[in-house]
Amino acid sequence: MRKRWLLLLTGTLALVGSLIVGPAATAKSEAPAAGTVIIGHDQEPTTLNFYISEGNLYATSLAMSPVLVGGMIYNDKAKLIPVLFDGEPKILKAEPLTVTFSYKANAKWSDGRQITGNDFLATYRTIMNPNWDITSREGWEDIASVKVKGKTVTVTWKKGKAYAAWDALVASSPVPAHKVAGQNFNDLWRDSIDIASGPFKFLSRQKGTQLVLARNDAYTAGPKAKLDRIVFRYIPSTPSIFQALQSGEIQVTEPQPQLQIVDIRKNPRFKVQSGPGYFWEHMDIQFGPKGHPALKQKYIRQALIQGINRAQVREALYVRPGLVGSVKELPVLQSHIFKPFEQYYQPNWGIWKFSQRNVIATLKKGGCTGGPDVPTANNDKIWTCPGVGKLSFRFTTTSGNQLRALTFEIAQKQLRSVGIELVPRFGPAGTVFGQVLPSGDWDIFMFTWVGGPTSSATSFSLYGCGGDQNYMNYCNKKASDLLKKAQFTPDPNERAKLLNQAEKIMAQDVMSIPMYVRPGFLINATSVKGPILNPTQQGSTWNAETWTVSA
Amino acid sequence: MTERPPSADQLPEDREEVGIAAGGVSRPAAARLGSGAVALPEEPTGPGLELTYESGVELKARSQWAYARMRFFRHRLAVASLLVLVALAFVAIFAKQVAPHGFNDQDLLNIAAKPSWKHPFGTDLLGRDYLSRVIFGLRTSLWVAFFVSILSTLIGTAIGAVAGYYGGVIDNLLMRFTDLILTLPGLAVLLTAAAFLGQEAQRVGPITISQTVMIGLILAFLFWTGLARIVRGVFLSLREKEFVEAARASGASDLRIIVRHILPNTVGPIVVTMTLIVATAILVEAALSFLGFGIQPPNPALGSLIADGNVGGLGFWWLVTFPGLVIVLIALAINFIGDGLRDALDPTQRIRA
Amino acid sequence: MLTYVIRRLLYSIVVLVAASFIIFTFVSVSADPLSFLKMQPTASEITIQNITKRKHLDEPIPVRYLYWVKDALTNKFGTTTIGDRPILPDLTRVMGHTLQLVVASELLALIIAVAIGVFSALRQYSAFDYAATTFSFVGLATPVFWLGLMLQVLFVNIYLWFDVRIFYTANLSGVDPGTGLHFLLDRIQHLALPIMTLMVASIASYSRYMRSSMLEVINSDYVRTARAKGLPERRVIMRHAFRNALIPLVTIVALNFGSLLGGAVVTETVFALDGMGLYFVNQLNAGDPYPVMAWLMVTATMVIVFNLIADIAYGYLDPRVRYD
Repeated sequence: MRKRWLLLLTGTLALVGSLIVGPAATAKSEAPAAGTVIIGHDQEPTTLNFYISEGNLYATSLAMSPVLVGGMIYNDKAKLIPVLFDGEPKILKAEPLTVTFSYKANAKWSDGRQITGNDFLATYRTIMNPNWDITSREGWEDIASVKVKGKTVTVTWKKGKAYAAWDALVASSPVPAHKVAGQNFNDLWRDSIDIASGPFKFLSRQKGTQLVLARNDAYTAGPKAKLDRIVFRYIPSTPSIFQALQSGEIQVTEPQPQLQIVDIRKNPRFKVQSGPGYFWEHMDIQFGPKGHPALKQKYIRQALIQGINRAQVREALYVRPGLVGSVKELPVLQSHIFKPFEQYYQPNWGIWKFSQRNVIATLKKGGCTGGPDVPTANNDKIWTCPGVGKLSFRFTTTSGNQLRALTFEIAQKQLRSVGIELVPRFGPAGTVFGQVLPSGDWDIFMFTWVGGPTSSATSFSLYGCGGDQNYMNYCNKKASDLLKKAQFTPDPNERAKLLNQAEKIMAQDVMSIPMYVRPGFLINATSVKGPILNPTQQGSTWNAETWTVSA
Repeated sequence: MTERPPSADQLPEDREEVGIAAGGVSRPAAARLGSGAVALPEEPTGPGLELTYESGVELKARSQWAYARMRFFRHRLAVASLLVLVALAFVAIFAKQVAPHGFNDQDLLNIAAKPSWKHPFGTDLLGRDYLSRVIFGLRTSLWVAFFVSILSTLIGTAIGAVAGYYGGVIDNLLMRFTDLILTLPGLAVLLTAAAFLGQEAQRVGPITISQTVMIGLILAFLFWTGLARIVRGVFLSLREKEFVEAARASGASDLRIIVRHILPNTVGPIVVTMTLIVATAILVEAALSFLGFGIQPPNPALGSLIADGNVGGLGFWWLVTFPGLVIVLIALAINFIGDGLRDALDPTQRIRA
Repeated sequence: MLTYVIRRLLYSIVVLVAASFIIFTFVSVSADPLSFLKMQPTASEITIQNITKRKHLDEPIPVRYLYWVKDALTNKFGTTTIGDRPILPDLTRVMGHTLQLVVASELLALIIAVAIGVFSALRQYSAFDYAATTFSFVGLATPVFWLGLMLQVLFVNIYLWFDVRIFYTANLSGVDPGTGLHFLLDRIQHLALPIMTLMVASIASYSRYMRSSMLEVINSDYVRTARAKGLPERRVIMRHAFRNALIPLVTIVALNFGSLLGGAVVTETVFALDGMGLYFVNQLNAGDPYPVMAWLMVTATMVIVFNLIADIAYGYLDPRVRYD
């Protein structure tokens, strides 16, 4: 009896064992085909069409920008460099804004057809077709005419509607006129795409797992890609991405700023690049009727910003743990409009230094009572100000983000010691952005704006009176007019001057507290050479044609 | 989560009569564990037990309890587990006094430090003392688990008692409601509810329900069903018994009969189920927090500690290992206690071998 | 029996409708699938209006629910809010993957658990019995996600130390899965860790059930009678005891299987498997009611069907049970 059972048991165990060990013994150690680089990413593009709202994901542009390449692309210095254009586009006339550009003589689609001005025209018409779910039509809406002559295009904007970021607009990836004609653009390129203008072309896709690009041998507008293939592997959780990276299942990844990166930094098998990007973290203040009345008082907002040690926050979050190399890499953000690495950056918010004594003095001057006389740890005396009640504010942000939680903790502690209370109201991203933020039913809201090299021009939408994304309901007529003017000023110097003027006014108002620019990261196994971090939404594949891989 | 095999409350419906009679079928998976493996000698079915259901309460109750206590304390693993749990609960309750640091205090000179005398569990990637974080996480997780257990026991007992005592239409209605909860895809309800109600404090009129309590409420809402069926079964079998008739004849109100006369007979299964719910709640809450749908920062919970500390590779092993071990320890201890309680309070359920 | 089944089915439909309305309301009230589009500083107003109109997002929720019912019944669960992507093909795909994972792990778990359970019962209080009990207790007390992480860490480090690839830690198949035997091996290498993760809790629970029901049967009168008749012990165990002891296990396994088909959310998340559970969590995060509802309907139906199977199997195997 006993023997039989033992036999059965060992039999089963042997079966399971062979299942486990068998593949290990027989399967070869995975040597991906020569010239294949595997990129791990936490989000999978649903459609491959990045013009429509479903493709409005970073993951889509990461995978598709080497396939449908732009007339110009952003390089690692956030500067537009020609790819399909034969040179930089030129302004022919400032008012109404008229510009011209040409595609390279050897710019061809992967099926051999020439890329011409008609493709740009098709792009314009597609974007302006109200039937298609185009993510953004900004700038396109104000175009008065598009004239095509062979490979040369001349675009004219409506009078007084000169689009500030016109160069980025005309540099958009052209769509192939012969492929979009008569097609339902919403359904086009949903699961595959049979055309390419860039150094790579679509090869295959296994939904939920991977997307494979192969070298486009018909690409002549620039140097041919050195790699045979790029494979995007979709691994939805960041920890699993790091596991896969360490175990050699992926070679390149662009992780969220997560603390896991510290570990990889110490590992000689990997190269970690970090640098500032266009995502900036900030705390918005509500001016609308559903916000706390105290926050409508300028002196209280000024007290608030002086009560938060912004330098310490970014140091505790990024610098000390080793996420970024030094304080220099991540300066305190003193502008809502330009980033510290941008040419026109001015530290307009530098007027507000961390000073707990100033907070108390300011509040006392405003007639507030009941707070502490000196900053005290474990203080539980909270100020009450005349006509606006107790300084206890709801603090909303997304849940599940360790760095934001810690930012909150630090700010809460610092403000508490000077008699201002923050009450956490965290929620999932879908809810806080979908419901809470637009409702205006919040006091202080910490989040990140996803910007880009051209977003400074459209600051009106965020801070102008009645701006589309002005969820704070902030309105300063003077600043608003300057922002509006800047939006239609094509000359960058002139525009920056207007924007900085406006921001000096806004900094006095303290309508929002800038915190820091969220650094971007790019990790690659040292066997892969060539990846360079790109601060824009262009994606780390911007120079993928130069990448090489060694076994 | 769903990966866990079903416990009693997921068993097919309409089987409570069989379940009770056959004894072995509709018990929670964990509840049945180790009934033979414990160091308990064969327990003679003492005379006190025979009387359990049939007699008046007062006098026999004492002897019943005495027996139960005796049996429980003979169950060495259960006693040891009880000590462990008490110690952990003590640490959790006095977290502020016991923890060497606050759970968000950064020690910027010791970032991601390995376990040492200064930081026995090491520090995390922001230089926060991990022992303190685990203690505060334990506090939240234990609090939620006990809250869920008590609340779902109250709901389950009330519904089961009313249904079983009154029978008829009331019984039918209440049990159909129980079935509804049972047939709901538990995972879907749990995750959707947690995602859309449990992520931030909710306001109900003037009361603000904190996020942690919300998670507890959602769990409790799904956990009471098994107990309701058990309690109903006992009530159904006892409501026609002589001592109930006698009480009724002497003019006792329904409430009095339910609470004073019948309920004491269900204490065994109630206590056992209650204990096991604590273990389930700990595990489910940890999984929820791990997926990002559970307790939200700034509140620390064991599940989210693991999620945050999960770096990949063995680089920072202590960040994943310690909170995980604490969860295993609690769940193990509670299961052992539940097992001991079952042997002590519900000896008829034991399989004689 | 038939009336019982019909009654159960009718009742299940009522439950399903109620649950679908509640969940639809939950998802629709508190999340906006367009939120990420609206957060785009330059999002096109026309596009937002078009989608809102097309998907009836401006209607009251009961009306939207009815639209959903119509879509679910006539249009294969409809399409996603953003992008109008048909839902059914995606759902079928992830279902296939989850089936592979769940069938493999449950089958293995069942075989191992039955063996352990029977052996423990026959050799009660032996060293093996104690070991099995310890394993069960620990297995049931271990959070699934933690176990998964630990297995990942273990195999990543085996790879790093010995430079041998035994198992992969993420995804369903390799970059070049190949065909035939190569494909099979590749799949096994990818699925092995999730299967192990999922198996532990199942074995822990099933083996205890098997052990106790085996004990119960061995000590029952009719096995004693069989023994007394002088039947050989092996025959007694296999013919009489073993078969009867399997009865309660059947229901447990059927129920567990039914709920696992909704996806092993935690396991699939940890190992990045393109399965039902991960699909659900992703769609939940996106806040799009249609895919969430489609998932819910499929899963709930599975749970109900397997509940029914468990009931019928139980009634069929155990003559003491009668349904009226």
